[in-house]
Amino acid sequence: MKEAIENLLQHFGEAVTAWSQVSPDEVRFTICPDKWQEVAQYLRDDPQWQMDYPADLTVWDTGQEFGVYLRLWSSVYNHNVLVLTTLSRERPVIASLAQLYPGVNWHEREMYDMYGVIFDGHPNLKRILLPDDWEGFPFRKDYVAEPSGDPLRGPQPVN
Amino acid sequence: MEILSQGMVINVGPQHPSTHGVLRLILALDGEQILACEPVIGYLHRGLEKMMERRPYRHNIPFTDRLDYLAALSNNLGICQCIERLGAVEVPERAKYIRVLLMELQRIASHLVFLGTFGTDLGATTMFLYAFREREMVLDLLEECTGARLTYNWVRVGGVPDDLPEGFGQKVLDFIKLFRQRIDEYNQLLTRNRIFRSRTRGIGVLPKETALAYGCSGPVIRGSGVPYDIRKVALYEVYDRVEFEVPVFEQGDVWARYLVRMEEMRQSCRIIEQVIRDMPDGPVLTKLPKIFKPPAGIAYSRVESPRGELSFMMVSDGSPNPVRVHIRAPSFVNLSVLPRLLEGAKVADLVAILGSLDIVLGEIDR
Repeated sequence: MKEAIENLLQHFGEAVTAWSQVSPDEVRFTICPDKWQEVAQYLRDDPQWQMDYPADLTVWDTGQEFGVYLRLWSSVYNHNVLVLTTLSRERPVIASLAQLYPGVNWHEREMYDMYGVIFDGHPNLKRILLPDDWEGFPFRKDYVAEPSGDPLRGPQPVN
Repeated sequence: MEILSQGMVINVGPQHPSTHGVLRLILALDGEQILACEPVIGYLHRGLEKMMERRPYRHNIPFTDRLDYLAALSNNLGICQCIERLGAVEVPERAKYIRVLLMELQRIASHLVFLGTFGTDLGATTMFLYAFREREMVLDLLEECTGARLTYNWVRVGGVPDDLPEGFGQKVLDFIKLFRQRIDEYNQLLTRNRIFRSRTRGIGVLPKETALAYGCSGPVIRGSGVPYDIRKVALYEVYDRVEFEVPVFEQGDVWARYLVRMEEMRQSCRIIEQVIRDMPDGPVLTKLPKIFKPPAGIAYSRVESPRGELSFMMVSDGSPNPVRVHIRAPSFVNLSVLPRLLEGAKVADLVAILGSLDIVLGEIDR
């Protein structure tokens, strides 16, 4: 695994801002967001990694910026890789991985639904859990909902 | 003579007995053949992940009972493991054994619901009565230990809240002895049933590569020939100290997914026997401070729930409440492959294919 990490760091240079090996079979990379798709593709196709299983993808909001979290697993080596990046609140856009890994399709739709993060190149980016006419992105830290008094409309965003 | 067919869009659910909850499917049909399928979910969405951000870490455990309500203990374990990793909490040995014992009982109970409802889906209504008869026995055992029958809330950060009741091990062993014979009965009733076989074999085939690329887990991926079991690849709790096999079938059809679950119940029996034999004495809960503040960071946990890889991911900033709790629900990912499975299938097979994924809408919608 050591050699594979070195090759990846060499291949992407300064795009990898931080990394750490948490355990013998798990490594975490923090990268800059514009290399998101390239890193995922490299991890999937490089024979030293072969991360063929998209385990998880999610977003979180710190109040200042969005974090994006991707977890991959390799059925060949039984290794886990976490890929982390941050997005600004003003322009929450990141490349979609749905073409590389069909399994993240619904995860990306859910994160768009909850946080309003745009996954560029997603084949079907629309709300998945909330109704199509829902206003706002409820998992953002600045989203405040108050009961509307109408059970059919549910809580409404306060602006 | 040429038979002309006309395209048609029909709606299944959200209130339909075969959808196992409030799931809606929009189907585009050409005669009896399904051309495309779009699942519509979110009818049970409660915003649990957001609710968890507003509460201290340990207050969130009861919420997880409401995710996958057929395997509440697996969810409890998932969130507790995640918090333990975040705060580097040690778990006493005896608590680990108790956890594994309860998880495997839970797996048997959950697979029995699958067996009963799957039989009913395919018209074998008798199976439901047999499966629920044994499920009642498991629920009685779990009730004796935890005090609840469905929403147990029985795993704590740092162990389990209390020791097993007196004589519990023997009662479980008695049940296992009986249950092994009952599995043979199920096989006679359902597995060897010719109608059942012809309705499940070669239906809804999920190739190995598709299962991996879609991130399927649990019996769905193991029915497609990938030995992906978190109990083996992550070795949490004491799964590295018990002997058991991971049943894998290569066919990838509805029949294979059914066989995986049947065999898993036998393996669970094996695990339970070893755990009861090897369980050490000692404390079951680590003492933690009243206000629990894990250091800042990101942690995730992986648990093999009866439905597949259940993963919790938490972001902490050092305050008493989490910044973010994310739940990777196995049913959510397994359901996303349904449109692929239904392409070109017959309408009559829809119920069999959907049933073989064994989804729980509580954790899909969260």
